[in-house]
Amino acid sequence: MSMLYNRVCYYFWFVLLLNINSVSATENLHIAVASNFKAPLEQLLNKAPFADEIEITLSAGASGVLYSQIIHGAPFDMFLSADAKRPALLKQQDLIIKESIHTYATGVLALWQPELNSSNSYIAIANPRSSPYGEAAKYYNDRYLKTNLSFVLAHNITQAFQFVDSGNAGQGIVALASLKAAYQQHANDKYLAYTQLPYQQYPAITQQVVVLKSTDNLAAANKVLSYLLSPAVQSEITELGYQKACSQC
Amino acid sequence: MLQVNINQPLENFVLDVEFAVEQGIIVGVYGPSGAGKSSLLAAISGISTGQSIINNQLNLATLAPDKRGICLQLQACPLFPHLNVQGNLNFAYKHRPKNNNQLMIDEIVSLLGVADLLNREVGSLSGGEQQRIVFARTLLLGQNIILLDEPFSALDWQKKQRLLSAIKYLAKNKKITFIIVSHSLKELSYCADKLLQLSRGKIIRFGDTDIISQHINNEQGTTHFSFINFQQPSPLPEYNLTKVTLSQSQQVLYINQFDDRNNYKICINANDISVSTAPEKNSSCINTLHCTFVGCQLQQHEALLYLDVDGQTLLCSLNPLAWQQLAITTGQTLYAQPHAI
Amino acid sequence: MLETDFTALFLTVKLAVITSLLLLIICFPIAWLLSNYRGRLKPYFEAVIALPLVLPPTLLGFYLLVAFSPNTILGEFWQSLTGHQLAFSFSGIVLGSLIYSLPFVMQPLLVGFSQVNSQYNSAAIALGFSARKRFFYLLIPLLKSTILSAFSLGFAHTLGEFGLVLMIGGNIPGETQVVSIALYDHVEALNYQAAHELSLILFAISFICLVLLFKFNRSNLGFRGANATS
Repeated sequence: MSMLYNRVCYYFWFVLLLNINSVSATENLHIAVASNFKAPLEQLLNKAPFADEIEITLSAGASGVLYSQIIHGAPFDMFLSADAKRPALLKQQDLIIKESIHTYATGVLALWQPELNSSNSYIAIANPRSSPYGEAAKYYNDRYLKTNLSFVLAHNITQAFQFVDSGNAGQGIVALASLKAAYQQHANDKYLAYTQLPYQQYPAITQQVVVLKSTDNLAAANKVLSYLLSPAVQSEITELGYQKACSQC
Repeated sequence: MLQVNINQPLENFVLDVEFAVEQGIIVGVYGPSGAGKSSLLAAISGISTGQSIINNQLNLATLAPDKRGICLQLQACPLFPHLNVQGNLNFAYKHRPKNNNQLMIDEIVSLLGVADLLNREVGSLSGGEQQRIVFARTLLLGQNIILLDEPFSALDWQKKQRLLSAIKYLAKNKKITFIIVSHSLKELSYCADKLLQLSRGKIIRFGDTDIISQHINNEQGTTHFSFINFQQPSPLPEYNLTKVTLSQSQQVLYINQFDDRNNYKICINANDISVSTAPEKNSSCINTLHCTFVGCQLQQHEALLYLDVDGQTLLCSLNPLAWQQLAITTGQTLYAQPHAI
Repeated sequence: MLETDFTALFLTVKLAVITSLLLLIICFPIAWLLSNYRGRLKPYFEAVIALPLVLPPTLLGFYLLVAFSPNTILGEFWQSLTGHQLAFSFSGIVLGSLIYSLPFVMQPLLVGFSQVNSQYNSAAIALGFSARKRFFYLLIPLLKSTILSAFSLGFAHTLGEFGLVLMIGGNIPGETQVVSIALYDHVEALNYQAAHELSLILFAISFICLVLLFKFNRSNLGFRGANATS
């Protein structure tokens, strides 16, 4: 009994502290973000004009996992998915604020082969069933590349990069963003040994952002949203290895 | 001939022991807790090092424990739980060395009277039953030198007596050497040929059991006891008694049921005897021994009477007041009534 | 259920059986040596054995992936030995599982050995049994139930292995796509129906396996009757 009492007490204090916190902080925003965009997002938010006004918490994870958490009531205000499918599903279930769906980045594929004469018979791609990068890579391969190498499927596009980077796969269809980030960090020439694949030859990898209906901080969310879509930020995103969001415009 | 020469530092003292025994002799090792008794057995068996053990000119110290032809039954020596009682005995029998003591399973089972335990699981045995089976298994391992560490501590005297007699029988007829550690002087006196008194790793006394055990009794003020040999046991099942006869004087004693065929001997505690100067007619005691008073040893709270019965010595312990009131003279005939035999 | 799911299920059971058998063979002598070892380094050895218990499987997987690379000594050695590379192969995930499930096979064996050592082995040495006889006629029969529980624990733990195979497997059906990976795939692809079916089967297998484990432990195959001490 006393354990239960203690637990109730703790819970009470916990909730109280949470509330005090939300009152005292200026504004508080909890953003769920697909793992592959976490680092760029952090970079961008640090430079944002509202960096001091809005306190932002990031939860990174696989888009699928974040999606399941959201439909089961996770307290996120915004969701930056790595694809367009899950935002669409959320919209169907009426869990997002209408008109808040936007494409914040479009992924770019690169065929990366660090060692030209490698005898390695594996090519790494992200799993086409769950990752839009993988789906696009498979589409490209089926129509243009037609490789005779064996596929190894990574559970996301970052892991596909790791498979090649560690030398276990001879080549891979990876995200341009991963290569650029790696080069920025390590300045190793092997991260330049890639060919960017033509946009037209694979389905667009649209990464979309939504604001969730359950949010209490709509104003702050809108601020972040318009910041992300602003031309200045968009061109920065392009430099990180993405295509401009509005490729159709 | 087993020659033991040990000099081995232990935690608190040095175990420094030298003695020799002929094949087929039973040596009792007596001493207080922590005197080094178990360490002595360990050293002889070869589990611990730092000794010279020579058996019939063969230096055992250079051999591995399993090659020495010595079997040590530790104080905590469990039966193997994956086998039943019969299985444990078979196991020992099957794995004995080629050069062995020739004991057969049936022989040991009937000698120790454990036939009714054979089909039991070891987990269902009482502590005493386990000790009897453990001992049977030790014998069946086939060695001619057997070391026992407190082997019968969980048994009552009657059961103990049977096993001690078995040891006597095996030593005499199969020429097996036994070295037995026990804290019970009575137990050792009953079966050992030689007693070795150990204290802080040194031998204090070593010699014939009768002499050493008297010394120890006097020294420690423990309860004295004496052994009386008899003949012709005939069971009286309707009274749950056995009728026995003393060989010289043909006196008759009725004792508790007795199932030992090898050792016609009973132990009588000195303080379990009452004496009178005239034969008692109206006593509940069924046994009265006619004896002659030989002498008395007066101690602070005890008068120890030496009585001659049938040419054997019977010890009787009295309160000094009772001794004064009786006013006995040497050579006088006394009537001793032993209880509980 | 999809055909790939059956393949994954079969592969998982195969992986678990091979891993637990190999682990038994590897762990048995090590546990024997370690339980007899009284030196200063004992806690360090024990810690190394327990490490896979606390390290996150994805971390283990990441370093294995690095180690498996054909550019490393291990990867190169394996490649020259077998002509295949370790990553993305069944041998690779077996090797990973060996590390991942090691403590689960080793711990019961260590406990069993030290029990047998303290209770039976010293008594048997004193009675004059040779090392060979003690090993084959006492140790192995006495440890029968311990060996069984070590095997089942290793088996059950390998069944549920995920993070490590995710890192080094490459999701190849029939080769490295085990049930947990197939499940993750279904969930990621939002195919919840297939995920439910597959989890139900995995749940049933694991449950039966654990029931058998606890049943073996209860009846204590190696030990007839209740505890025996003298």
